[in-house]
Amino acid sequence: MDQHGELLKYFQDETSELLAGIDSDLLKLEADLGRAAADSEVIASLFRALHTIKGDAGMLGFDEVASVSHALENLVDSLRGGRLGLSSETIELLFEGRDLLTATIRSGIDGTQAPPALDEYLRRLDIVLAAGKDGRAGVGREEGAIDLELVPAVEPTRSVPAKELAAQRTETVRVDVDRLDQLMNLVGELVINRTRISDIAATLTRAIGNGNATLGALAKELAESAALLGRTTNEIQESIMKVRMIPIGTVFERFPRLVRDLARSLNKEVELVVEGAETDLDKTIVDHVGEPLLHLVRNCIDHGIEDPGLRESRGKPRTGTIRLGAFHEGNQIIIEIEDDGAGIDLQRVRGRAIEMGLLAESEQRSDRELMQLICAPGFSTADRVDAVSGRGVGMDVVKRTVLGLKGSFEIDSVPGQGTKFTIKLPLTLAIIQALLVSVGKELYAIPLDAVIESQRVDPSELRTLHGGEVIVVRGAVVPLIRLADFLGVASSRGPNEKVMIVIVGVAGRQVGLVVDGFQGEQEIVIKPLSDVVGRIPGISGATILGNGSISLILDVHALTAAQESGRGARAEFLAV
Amino acid sequence: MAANDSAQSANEQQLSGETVHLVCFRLGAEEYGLDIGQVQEINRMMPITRVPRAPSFMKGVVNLRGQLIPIIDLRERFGMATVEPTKATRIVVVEVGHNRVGLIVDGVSEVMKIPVERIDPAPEMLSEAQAGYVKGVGKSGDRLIVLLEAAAVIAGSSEAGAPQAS
Repeated sequence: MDQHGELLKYFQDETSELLAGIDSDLLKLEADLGRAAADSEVIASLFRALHTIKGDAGMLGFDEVASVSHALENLVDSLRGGRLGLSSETIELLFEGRDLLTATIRSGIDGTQAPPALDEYLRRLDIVLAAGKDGRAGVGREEGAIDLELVPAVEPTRSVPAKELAAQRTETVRVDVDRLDQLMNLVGELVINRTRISDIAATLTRAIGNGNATLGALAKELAESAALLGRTTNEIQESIMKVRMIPIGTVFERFPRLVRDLARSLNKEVELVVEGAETDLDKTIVDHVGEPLLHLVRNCIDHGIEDPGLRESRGKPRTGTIRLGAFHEGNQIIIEIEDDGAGIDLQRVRGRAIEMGLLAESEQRSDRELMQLICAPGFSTADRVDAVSGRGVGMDVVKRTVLGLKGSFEIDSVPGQGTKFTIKLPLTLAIIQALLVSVGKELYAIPLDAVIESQRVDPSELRTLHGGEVIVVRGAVVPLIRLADFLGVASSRGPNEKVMIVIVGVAGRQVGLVVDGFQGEQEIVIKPLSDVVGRIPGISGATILGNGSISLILDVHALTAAQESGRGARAEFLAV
Repeated sequence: MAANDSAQSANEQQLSGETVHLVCFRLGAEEYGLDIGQVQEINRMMPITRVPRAPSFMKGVVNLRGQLIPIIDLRERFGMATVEPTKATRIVVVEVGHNRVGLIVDGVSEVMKIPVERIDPAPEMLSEAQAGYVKGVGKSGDRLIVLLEAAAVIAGSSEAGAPQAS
């Protein structure tokens, strides 16, 4: 990347952090509205953020960004100086300015036109500032002019001493995620080679046997050295995993603002409580978890929390509470989204499911099963479609994204008391334990966390049900998928040989995968198949084995889902 | 990055004066060229791991020094008859954006420079399978070299596979 590109990237990263900070400061100011004077710490922090953005924008020649941040800085300065009182109008003006600033930064980075509302807003701001007590706030800013005034990085009025700021700077390094990914890839290589060297050492030891003492001793040394290499590699791997971990708070950050705006537009009163924002997890997962959380929080506000009047009549506080929490449990992170709203009306869910043809009138389902119906594509109990929800895509997206991240998703609800969504996700996705199986001459990897057991059964034990092969395991009927057919290879086993089956399970459903041989367990590094290959149903990625060959990783979710969606869908899925 | 690219091409123009630098290869009787800037390396044939349920021209993936690279059989991509690999068969690894892809070709002939004036726009009589990928036709002596747009060869391959995969 050239220097300008680097600068842009830096600007983009830094401003998005600063904007998030501005958001939380504005929310704090809003919360303090009743108080006599605004919190000077918060004002100072706002001022600092705006000032930094202004400085960076000036350096990159983003005149509009510089002028809007400068104008906002003036506004904040008037608040600080007491020339302007803190009112809900001022807060609204600040929020509006913050949104315009975001849009202007975006257009600056993209090289597009600044938002048209900008000029009008700046004029309005000028009027407000001019109306301030001493009327000198507008001075020093000319319409459209670049403000090249370079204020020292740290002003004496600021609450954070210069020394402290300097100390903070040296403790963290901003690293491009691409570089981390590259490092992770390299470590993946190292892990593969470590396995390979151990293999070679073992083979060598066997080949030499007791024949040659000198060579035997060398082989032993090689094995020891390989073991040491293995230990170090593990440590490097763990350290890099840790580096890739970022707090989930980076996702939570945008919710306070979102909840505020949404509640306001729906005339509801909602308080958001965030817990465990410091809980770490892998960057890749953090990147993907935002969307499902957004759907869930929206769902809580729209469907969960009742109107203030209704809440009071039900003996609840006017203001509803949404709790967004995260914590570690073993090798997983648990994210909970809980509201104290109306809960899910299962009778209504049932009625809707029958209307949609998902359920027959006579069919009896447990509460839990009914709850799962909410996640069916297109399902919505809302009678109207609006900008927030009701289109019936939300829960479907949540479930699919979470399953895609190898996590699980649960809904608990008590009518009248509230709803709790629980998402469980693995801490990292990159390295997993896998069972290697052969199908024809090809090797495939099955994630071990999905494997329940493996069996060798006599062909006579297989049964046919609804035209599909099944096996009965301890009384439970498990449908079978012949991987050779699915993958389009000739099976290496004859019809009378024992049938080798790997039983996998996801979310309580089981499927037996018929393979040609078990090749042992191994730690594998997941690599995505290139975009160019596109999505291959039933394959979730690939890995490089110790001998340099490639093994594809089976997508157990897709395989069980294909089974579960009935025979018709299965026939379509298997027909290639 | 855009600034960088234009600086680079400006440089090339200064050095070579309006020429295009090509890697040329054969497919059957025809000769093709790819901009050298897009070609990352040229390899001999190597073991390819088949990817089931992918379109037929997507031969699979290879392990190129720890990186997984998808391999496209250019003959099949262009709707030509397929052949067994020979000693001359090569995998031309191209890089477009973030994607690296290997293209199987009958053989790599040479690297050459062609003056821009000697490149004509793509003729209309091209077969439909090829039409989208051809940038133009370059002339060198009595040879005709079909200039390919690597991005087009790679793009759409996953979409093209979709109807086949279902």
